[in-house]
Amino acid sequence: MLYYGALPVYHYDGGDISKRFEVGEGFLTVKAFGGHAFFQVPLDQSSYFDASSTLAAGSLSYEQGNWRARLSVVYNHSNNEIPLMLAALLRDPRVNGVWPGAASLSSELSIRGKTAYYNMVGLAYDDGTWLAQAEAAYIDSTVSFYPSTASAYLSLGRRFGPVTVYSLFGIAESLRHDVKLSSPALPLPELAALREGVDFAINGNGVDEKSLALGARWDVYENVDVKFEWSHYWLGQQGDQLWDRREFGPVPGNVNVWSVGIDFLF
Amino acid sequence: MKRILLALLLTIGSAKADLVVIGHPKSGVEALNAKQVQDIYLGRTRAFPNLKFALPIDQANYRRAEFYELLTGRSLEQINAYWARIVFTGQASPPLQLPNDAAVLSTVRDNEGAIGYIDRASVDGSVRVLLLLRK
Repeated sequence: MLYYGALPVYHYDGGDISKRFEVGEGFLTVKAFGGHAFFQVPLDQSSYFDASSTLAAGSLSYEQGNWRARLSVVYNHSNNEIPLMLAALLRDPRVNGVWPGAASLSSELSIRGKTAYYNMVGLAYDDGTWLAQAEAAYIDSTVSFYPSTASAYLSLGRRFGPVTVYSLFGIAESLRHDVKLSSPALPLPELAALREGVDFAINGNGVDEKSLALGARWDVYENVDVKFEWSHYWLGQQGDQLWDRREFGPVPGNVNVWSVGIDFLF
Repeated sequence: MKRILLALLLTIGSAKADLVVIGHPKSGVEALNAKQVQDIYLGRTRAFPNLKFALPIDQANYRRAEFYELLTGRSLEQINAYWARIVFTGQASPPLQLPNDAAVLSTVRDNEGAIGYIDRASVDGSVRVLLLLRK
């Protein structure tokens, strides 16, 4: 959640090609991917926006004995605009008449033509008994309300027969400064509310969280496993972008998630 | 009683048997080392060192656990967990499983790219021994 939560998880249409080489004592895999992604972004309590973006990616992975290393870069180009009411209001000449510079803020709420790069590096070890995995990512974004973010996690586990016990510690944080908003010329309550809404939309979507997870995976059969996990998240101020919050309100300081999952292989 | 004794002898005999990794005589491969067989059976490569396609064959019985223990030092549970990751990430599929030595021998005999493992005592002249795994 903390590490992969920023990635859209809906539909991808595209293709990939990979080539594997024997290099030294191990194997190097080179992979390229290109395509389109379609996903829905919640706008408010009842409506969604269908977003579309073009993707291109490349990765290098090297596997030798019990070790695996991976390096990848994904390029994302947003193709359409979010129909935000706030952006429309900011472009309204009447609003700009009493709030000079409001129109320029509408570009901060724009995503069309904006880009983001997902840069990731990972290392994993698995000797059959002990498992360790670490990944670090940096999302370089030009979208104001989807700020550039750094994240990483470390996972350690041990197998006891068909049961694997594991722990995970993760951290994610936005790496940008807030956009400073000018103030309306008139002290009208409606304008103050509009400014507050714009401020929240632009600056209220940061990521600031740490997480700890403890879990166990039980391999019931060759193709079925059951996973039990407890995760605890510490959320900082304006740091809950990865959570789907339907109402404005104070940021929850802590979240506990208990989950049980069953995986099948067909 | 005789039946029980025979079963006991067979069990002891199978427990002490060495395994051999076998290939087709025309595969162009004379022998493999343990790492090369591991790479094929763990899905790291789909080719022999001579770059010809390799089709690994597992057994769907107790010999599978013996084979992976001898080859990798890992238990069958650890091997299954390893394959779960490989399959979930779409990298490869685990080897095809056949019921016994006779089926593996027959398949390797009929397919130039096939590679399998059987009891050392089951080997005949129709296949080539690529690696001996001693218990």
